[in-house]
Amino acid sequence: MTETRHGDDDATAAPAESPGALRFEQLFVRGFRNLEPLDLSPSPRFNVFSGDNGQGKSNLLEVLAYLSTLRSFRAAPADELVRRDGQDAVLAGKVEGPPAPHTLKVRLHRGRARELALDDKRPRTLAGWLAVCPVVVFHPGELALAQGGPETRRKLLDGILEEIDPSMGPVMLEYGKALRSRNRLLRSERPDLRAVAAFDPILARSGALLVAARRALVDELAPRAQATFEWLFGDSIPVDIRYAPRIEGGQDALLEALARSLDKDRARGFTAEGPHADDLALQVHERGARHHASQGQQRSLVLALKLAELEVLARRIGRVPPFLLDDVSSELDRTRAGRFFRRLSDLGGQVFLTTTMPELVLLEGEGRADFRVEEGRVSRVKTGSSRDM
Amino acid sequence: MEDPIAELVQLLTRLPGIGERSATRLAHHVLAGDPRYALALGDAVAQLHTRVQRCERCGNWATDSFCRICLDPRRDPFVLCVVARVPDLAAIEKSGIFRGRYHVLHGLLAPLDGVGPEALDVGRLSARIRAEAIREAVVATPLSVEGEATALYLAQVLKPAGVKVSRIASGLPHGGELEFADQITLGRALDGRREL
Repeated sequence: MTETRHGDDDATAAPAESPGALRFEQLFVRGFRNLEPLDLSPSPRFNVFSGDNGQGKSNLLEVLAYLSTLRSFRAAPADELVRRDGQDAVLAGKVEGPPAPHTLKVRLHRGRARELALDDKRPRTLAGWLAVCPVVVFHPGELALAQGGPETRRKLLDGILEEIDPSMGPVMLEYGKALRSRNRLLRSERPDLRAVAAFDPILARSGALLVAARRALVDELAPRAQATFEWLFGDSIPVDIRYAPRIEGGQDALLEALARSLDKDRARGFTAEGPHADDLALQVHERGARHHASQGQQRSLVLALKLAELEVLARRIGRVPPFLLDDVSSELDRTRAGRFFRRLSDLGGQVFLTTTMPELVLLEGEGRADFRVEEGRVSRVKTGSSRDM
Repeated sequence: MEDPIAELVQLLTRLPGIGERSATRLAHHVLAGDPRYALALGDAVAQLHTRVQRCERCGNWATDSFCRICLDPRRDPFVLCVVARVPDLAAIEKSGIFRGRYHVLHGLLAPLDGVGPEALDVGRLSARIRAEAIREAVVATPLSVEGEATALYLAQVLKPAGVKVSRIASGLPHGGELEFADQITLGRALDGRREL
C-alpha cells in the first residue's frame, strides 16, 4: 500500500499504480438509464468524465457503484435503472486486484428480480459479492454529512464498519430489532413496563459492541480526515472530529441509562438513550460545523472524511478501493482542487470522477484518461496532459 | 371451470417448504395412486384438529385432556421447561436429557409482529407454578431477539412467585472453533462461563 504524507514535496512524486489496488479493468453496459451501449477499458489510475449536466456522467458512476454494492447511491429502484424503452439492463465489470481477479455481472429486469453472476456463477452469499470490490463514493448529496443531522454521520460509520468487520452486521441487526421492538411497546396504549425492560439487556449487550467498534473506527478515521482538511486549508483553521456517544461507558452504563430513562421514554414513546442517538461531532474553530462552518469548509470536511474512509478501508482490507467522485470540482476552488487532486494521486488507487469543467481537474501526468459524455454516449478524448494508452 | 388439481396444488403450496413445482408433483402422485390412500390422507388431515388438542396443563399436543408427558409419573413434577413451540419441545425430548415437564407458550414476545406480552398468557403459567409448587423454570426459548426478550420478561414476571428461573446456556457449538465465532456468540459464551 502506498504510504501517504502531506508535504508539498511528496505530492510531486510520480503517481504510482498501487500494487494493492482494486481496479475495474473492463466495463460492459447495456440498457442502463440513458447510457448507450458501452464497452470501456478504464485507466488503472484516473478516469475523468466530462460533459454538460444531464448527459449521463453520474449514470456511469452509478453503474460502478451498483456493481460494487448492488444498490444505487441515488436510492433508485431497479425499474428506474432500466432504460426507459427497454425491458432489462446488463452491467458487467472485470475487477483486477489481489487476491484474484473477479467478474461481476448483473442483469436488471423491469418488474422482476435481478440476476447476479459472480465469476459466471450465482453468488452463494450476498456478503461474498459485496467483498469483491468495495468502493468509496462521493456525490453532492453527501454534503449532508456536514450539513445534516447525526443520522447521516452514524450511517457513514456503520457503513464502514460493515465493510471492515463482517461480525458487526449481525450486531447492528440485533440492536436495531431490539430498539424497534422496545419503541413499539412504548407506544402501545398501556405499556407493560416489564416487557419493555426485557429488551434492555439485549440493547446494552449489542449497543456496547457497537459503541466500542465505532470508537475504534473514529480513532483511525479522525486523524486522517483532520490531516487532509489541514492539507487543504493550512493549519489556520482548526478542525476537530470526534465520536460523541450518547452514553459513555460499556454494557453496564447502557443498561443503567435505559433503566433510568424508562419513565421519560414512556412519556415520549421512544427510547432516548443508546448508540442510535450517537454522533460523529464535526467542529471547525471549536464550533459545530453544521451551523458555523462556511460552505467551502463543509465541502472540504466531507471530502476529507471520504478520503479518510478510503484510507481506512485500504488499510483494513489490504486493498485500495476505487474512488467514485461525482461532480467534485464544483465543490472546491482552484487552489484547493489542486491540493485535493494531488492528495488523491498519492493514494495510488483507481479514481473515476465526473465534472462539467475538466480544466479544473488538475491531475497531471501519466495514468489520466479523459472521456466525453454526450447524450449517453461515452467517447475517449486525448488531452495535452494525458498520454494515450 | 372446475379444476380440482389446481385447487389441491393451491392448498399444498401454502405448506412450508412446498413450492408450486413440488405441490404439482404431490397432487399428481396422489391422483395416479390408489384412491384408498387419497381417502386415508384426506381423513387424517380432516380429523387432525378434532383428534389433537392442546394439553390442558402444558400446551403440548395431546389426544386427551392431558399429554403423555404430563401423565407420565416418572417425570420430575417440580421442574418445568418453558418453550416457544411444540417442535422445540420435541427437540429437547429427543435429547433425552431433560426429565421434568414442559410449558409451551405457543409464541414469543414479538412487538414488531404485533405480539405483545398479553398474548403469552403468563398468568396461566404463574398460576400453574403456584398450584404445582414448581421449584425451577428453565426457559428454553430461541436465542433470537424475541426469544431473549421473552426469557427476560418471564424472569421478571415469575421470580416474584418465588420460583428459580434459569436460562439454557448459549455459546459455541459442539466442535466449534473460537476464532470463527461471531462477537455475539463469543460474548454470550464468556458471559455464561462457569467454574470448573
